[in-house]
Amino acid sequence: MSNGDFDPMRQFGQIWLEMLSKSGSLFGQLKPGEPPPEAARQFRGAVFKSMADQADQFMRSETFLQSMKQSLDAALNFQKQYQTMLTEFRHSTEGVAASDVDAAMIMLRQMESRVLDRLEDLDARLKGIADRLDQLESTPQTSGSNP
Amino acid sequence: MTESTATQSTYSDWTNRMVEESLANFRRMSRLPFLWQQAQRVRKGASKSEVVYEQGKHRLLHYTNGDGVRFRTPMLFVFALVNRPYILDLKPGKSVVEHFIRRGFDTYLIDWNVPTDADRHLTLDDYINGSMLNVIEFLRERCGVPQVNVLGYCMGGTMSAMFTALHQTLVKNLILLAAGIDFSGDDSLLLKWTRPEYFDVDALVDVCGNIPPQYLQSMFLLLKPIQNLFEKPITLWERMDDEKFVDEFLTMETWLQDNIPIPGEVFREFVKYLYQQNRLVKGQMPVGRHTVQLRNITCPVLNIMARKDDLVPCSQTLPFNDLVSSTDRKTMQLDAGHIGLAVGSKAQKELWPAAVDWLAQRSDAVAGQ
Repeated sequence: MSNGDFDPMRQFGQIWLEMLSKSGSLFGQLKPGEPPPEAARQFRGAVFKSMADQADQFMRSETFLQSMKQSLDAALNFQKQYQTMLTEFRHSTEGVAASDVDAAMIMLRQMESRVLDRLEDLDARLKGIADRLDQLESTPQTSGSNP
Repeated sequence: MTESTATQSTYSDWTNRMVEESLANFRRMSRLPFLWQQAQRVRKGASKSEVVYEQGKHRLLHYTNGDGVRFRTPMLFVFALVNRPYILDLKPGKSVVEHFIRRGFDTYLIDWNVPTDADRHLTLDDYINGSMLNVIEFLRERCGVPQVNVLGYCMGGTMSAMFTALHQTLVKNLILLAAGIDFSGDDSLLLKWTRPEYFDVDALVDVCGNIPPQYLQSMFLLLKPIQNLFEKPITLWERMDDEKFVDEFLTMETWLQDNIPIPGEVFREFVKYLYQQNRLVKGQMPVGRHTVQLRNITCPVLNIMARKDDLVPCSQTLPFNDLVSSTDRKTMQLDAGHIGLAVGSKAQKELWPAAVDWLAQRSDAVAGQ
């Protein structure tokens, strides 16, 4: 059932069947002297456990995933329309909209990354030069080269 | 005893318990008005700390150690960007940080702070090759050491693994705590929900910018709806008389509700590259101009995970040790949930003393100690 479609009627029946079977076995285990709150707690635990299992199965089902996608898409569409409307209003009143600030931020980010990339390249080249200098310094001088 | 006497005794037992339960309910009700006040008094963070470095909104906290430092290499905690980091130092007796301080580690924590709309374009590169690198360079200079120990929790663990793979020479020992690495499984609900066919991360980030904390909080709540919406409040109601329980419940809830937004671009990268494309294990995870290769990790690795973790199940964390080149690697598993790994009593008693031992065995003592 984890990947399949979710059949509400079947799941509803299954919840009740599970609850009944669990509570049946629970009542069978109860001692005669055991007070009602304890029995109620145990019954409640069994009910919650069964509900949690069913909820987990439901949230993995195609039905839930599709409805989650649809509700998110609808919310985002609404938000997008609202933002467009605000932007148009601000532009018509010669104001600055959030999208303008965003565009400026993106431009700054691009400049920043270009500078950082260049610095990184320079850093790598400097490291290479330093390594070669170290190598040259550590190479022993050949005898007889000096008069 | 005759049958009728036994029935009478059972009946009176039941009646007594019903009366007791009703009285208990009155007592609980009378405590309700004070619950709010108590929630306002919850302290955030237990150990004394000071800010020693700041970069933009990011801060580096140094935990002042009364007992003195016994190990040369500093310990750096890296937390996720989703919640506040004080879960690692929740309260005395429930603090991971405290274990390291007591053992004599010079302990630091990165507080990413709350991102604003201006931070929506920050990427993993800014966090890993920017802030984390700067913090570690600062620590190297401050402590006069070539390397630091890093402990990353949850998303912070994934980021720490990436950092170590990119800058192995700077990390002496790496501890991962419930860090998602392999996202190929199907057991976690989050993995199902973030599948590309059901979740358009680009549309969400393009419209919202930073991901609102309410959205993330509702997703986490939905992972276990019956437990979170029914069982938790009922348990609180039933144990309202238990001062210690209420105190711990409120402390925990304060942290759970203390969500912060996550920078939009980081969220996009995390969901797209990890949850949807599982690039980290394939050696194709881009961080800025670099690509993360986990096999570049050669330092000792301790991989800690929780068997009942519904956020980052063991199947996501376990493969890490096989993907690195380290010869010294260890896995620790605990019968706990995602948060229980940090604050659970079992973790405090068993896990953290063992983890601190592991680190102490791989750390150089301060000269003269």
